[in-house]
Amino acid sequence: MTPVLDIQNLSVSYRAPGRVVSAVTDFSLSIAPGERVGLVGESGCGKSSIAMAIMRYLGRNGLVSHGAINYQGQDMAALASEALRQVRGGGIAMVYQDPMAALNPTMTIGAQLIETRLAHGAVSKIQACDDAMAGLADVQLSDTTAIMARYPHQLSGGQLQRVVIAMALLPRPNLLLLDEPTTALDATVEESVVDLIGEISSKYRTALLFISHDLGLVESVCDRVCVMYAGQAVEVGTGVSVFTQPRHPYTDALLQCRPDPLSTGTAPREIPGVISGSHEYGRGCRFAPRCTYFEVGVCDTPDMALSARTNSTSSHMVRCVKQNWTRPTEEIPLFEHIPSQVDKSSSRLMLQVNQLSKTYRDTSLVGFGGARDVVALDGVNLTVHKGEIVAVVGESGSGKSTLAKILMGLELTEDGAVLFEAVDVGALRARNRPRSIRRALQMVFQNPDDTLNPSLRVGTQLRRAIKVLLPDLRRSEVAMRATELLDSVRLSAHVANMWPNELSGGQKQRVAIARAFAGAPDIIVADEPLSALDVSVSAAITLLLKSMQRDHGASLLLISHDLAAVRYLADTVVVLYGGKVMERGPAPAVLASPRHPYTQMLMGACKVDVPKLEPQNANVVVEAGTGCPFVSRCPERIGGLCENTPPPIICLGEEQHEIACHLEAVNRSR
Amino acid sequence: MLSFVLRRLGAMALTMLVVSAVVFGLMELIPGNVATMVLGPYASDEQKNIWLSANGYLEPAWCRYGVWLANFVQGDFGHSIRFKVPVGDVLWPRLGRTAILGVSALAVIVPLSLTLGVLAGMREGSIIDRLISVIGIVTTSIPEFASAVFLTSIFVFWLQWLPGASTMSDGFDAVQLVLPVLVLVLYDFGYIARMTRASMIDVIATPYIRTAILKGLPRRQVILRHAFRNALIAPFTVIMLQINWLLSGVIVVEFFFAYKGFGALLLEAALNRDVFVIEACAMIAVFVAVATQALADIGYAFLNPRIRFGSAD
Repeated sequence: MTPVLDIQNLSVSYRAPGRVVSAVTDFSLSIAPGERVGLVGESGCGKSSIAMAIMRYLGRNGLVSHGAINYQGQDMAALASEALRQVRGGGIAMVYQDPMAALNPTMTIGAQLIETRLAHGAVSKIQACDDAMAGLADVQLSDTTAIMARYPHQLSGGQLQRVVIAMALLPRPNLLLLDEPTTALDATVEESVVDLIGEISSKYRTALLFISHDLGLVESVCDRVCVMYAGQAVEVGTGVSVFTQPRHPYTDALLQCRPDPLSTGTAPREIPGVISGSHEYGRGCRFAPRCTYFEVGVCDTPDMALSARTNSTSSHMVRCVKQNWTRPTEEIPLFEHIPSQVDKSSSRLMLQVNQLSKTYRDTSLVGFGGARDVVALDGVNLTVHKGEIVAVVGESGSGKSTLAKILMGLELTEDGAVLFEAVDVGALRARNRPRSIRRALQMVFQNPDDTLNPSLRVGTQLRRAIKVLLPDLRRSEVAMRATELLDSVRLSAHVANMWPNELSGGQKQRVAIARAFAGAPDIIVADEPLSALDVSVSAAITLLLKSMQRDHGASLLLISHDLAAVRYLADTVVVLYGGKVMERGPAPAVLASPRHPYTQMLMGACKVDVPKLEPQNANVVVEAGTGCPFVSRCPERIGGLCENTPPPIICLGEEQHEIACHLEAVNRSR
Repeated sequence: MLSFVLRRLGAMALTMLVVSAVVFGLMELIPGNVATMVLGPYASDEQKNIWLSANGYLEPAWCRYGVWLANFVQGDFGHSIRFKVPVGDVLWPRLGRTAILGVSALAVIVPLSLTLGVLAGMREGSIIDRLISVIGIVTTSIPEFASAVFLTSIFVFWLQWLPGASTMSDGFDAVQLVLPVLVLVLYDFGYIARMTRASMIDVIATPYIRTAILKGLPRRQVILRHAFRNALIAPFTVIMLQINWLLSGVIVVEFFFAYKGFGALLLEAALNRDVFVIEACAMIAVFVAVATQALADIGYAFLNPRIRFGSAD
């Protein structure tokens, strides 16, 4: 059978001023009709370049320097422009990372779908319109007529990604390229979109090339997996084979960066070193500088090729000459999971949030849709003790970020209090807060690229933060403290002289953390500090945060949807939904045996069939006081009760574990 | 949408009211001079006082402002000192002429600069792009008085194709419009073309254009339906600002070609301290400025559905 796509010895490079940067080297891959192949690797490994090379869309500075890409036996490079246009979209379609950016903001969903259908195949406009509606129904969107008339900004992220998938599938392509299709989506939506992709692929026998950095996701979707490192495929094989018996040290290391969120106490392991630039590739293995099993004379010999895995019947290929390495048995994890050392009765209460509420009034000058109020927080209680890591977990729209903003003084409380050292800071904007409080409360942001000023050197930024927060220090002391800070986030002192754009994503986040620690704060609020980072980098930052707690006694309010990281880091977990606390308790208890249906849904551990409801309603909160905000998505709702009566808060006995749910109350009364 | 339009119009009326008070106030600072200007330098103080009281100038200021404003709204702008006729009689025809000049210029500038801007922005760094950018910068940097002299010497004195003055003394003559319009176009198109180019380059780099290309749309459709529409949003406001410039910024061109338009009137009124004409001209100029801005805002909302429909979340 002719493969849908056959990539032979592909090399892709980009011309940069004065040099050529190699992005992909000698990459071969063949995809059979209906086959699902995963392409895994961290940013910069060349996986997106492969996708763009397939589409012949490398931009003006990119070129296929070697090899060929054949689509159904025809060489893509030889296609004339009209034939290329037909293959694009018609034969090979693409789904992108950010669906909001991928759709034209000034055209309705319907118009964008219809033109796609019209571009491939002679159909009437009416036929195209019907096909578009059918396509939307295919991706499980209801009320297709209404969605056709909407503009992209009027839909939620999950809905938009469904639209993009529907659009890609309209001309019935043989191959679908998915470039990180769920990275921009919420965890619960992610799951349903991934399921949808699987169903669609079986229904139309569409072959998939699923590009992702998320190994678990790829494992659940794909038949075959290809792991990439520094522009090379380092391991190829069936999902089961690669993930259960990784034979390349990089695959193994990647897998260990992400411990199972359900297993107890395993620390993520970081991969030492950073990915080398293409000019630094030595002879032999490109992973060698970071590899634990590196051996002089063996690993640095040239002609390192993909070879069949020894003792294997499946087509499991590995690019490693030492593929029979064994992980040292008496290996000590870098950090053991430190169970909560915080004795809440004795340790100092740092922060107390009492009955915090916040409603965003629709005050936009241009209120076309009629004014709507959005309840962001509704009676939230929270405490943070000295040296404690409290994780706030929830989807977007749950109020997590509003909570962070209020703590930092970027938003004001409406009702309730934020007590810091017995001062209510909730009603004080950041600029009105005394310096001592600003010093004590600091924040780490999601995207380190946006946090650092691109036109100031790292050292200058750190010294500036120190001078503002600790004005009594002398110049020499400020410089010394800056060096100490860099050291505490394990960056060498010369980083101080570098510009932010010279740093990698992980290094930037380390600098951002160092900056947050500049004034020796009492509490750090970290808003999704890991989600913009690569898998291995995120593991390293997770370990760094833990060591900050252990070595510096830092208290941390961690806002995250990354349950694996929460599992490892947090002492206490607070689950938010629709601005209300659904469940709270010690991290091991909440994550090992979640009791609230929402927490169970988040954990993905519940075996009940969760209705595939878009969280489009996640922001449209049930009017405060009338019922449980989760009611519209809850698989176990009790009709008549949950909609109308606010759920009671029930203490589950052991160690301050409590949930707000009728279910528990009803079960108990039986 | 309706409430948005109404609010914009309300804001516009308020702006006009404030500006009218400012204009009135400025003219008020020289009350003695009004009488001097009307009656001439040799009038006695007594005569001036009689004139001032007869014309209501001795009433309290807010009272006179009310009367002035009421008259103004009804189209009574007072009497021109220089032309010895009601201001309206001289103002409206002049405004009409400038409107003809401005509309003609815009009718060339807008299509020309948008086309060139899109062509340049479509392929950043290409030969077409560089050519258009260089021409745009050169023409924009030549001031109108220089290009007017230059073009006149070519088309009037050397080739003898076009008349050198645009007095329109024998009725409307389109040929007389060519040179003034050409000067205005030459000065202005490069600016809008560069704005469009920059906007187009931004849009071409967006992921949704990549989507449009990779879903197999013909290139023409990608450019016209996806890129152009979005690239238009930013230059639209700038184009609306040009209307403002074409009203009061064309003094040089009107004077050079002896074109009896609004700019020339403003110049004449200012030179002769024709208070009422200056007041009327100022109010008209402000009205046009405020009105084009309101239109720009409304049009912007129309072009951008994110503003028109608000957000879902």
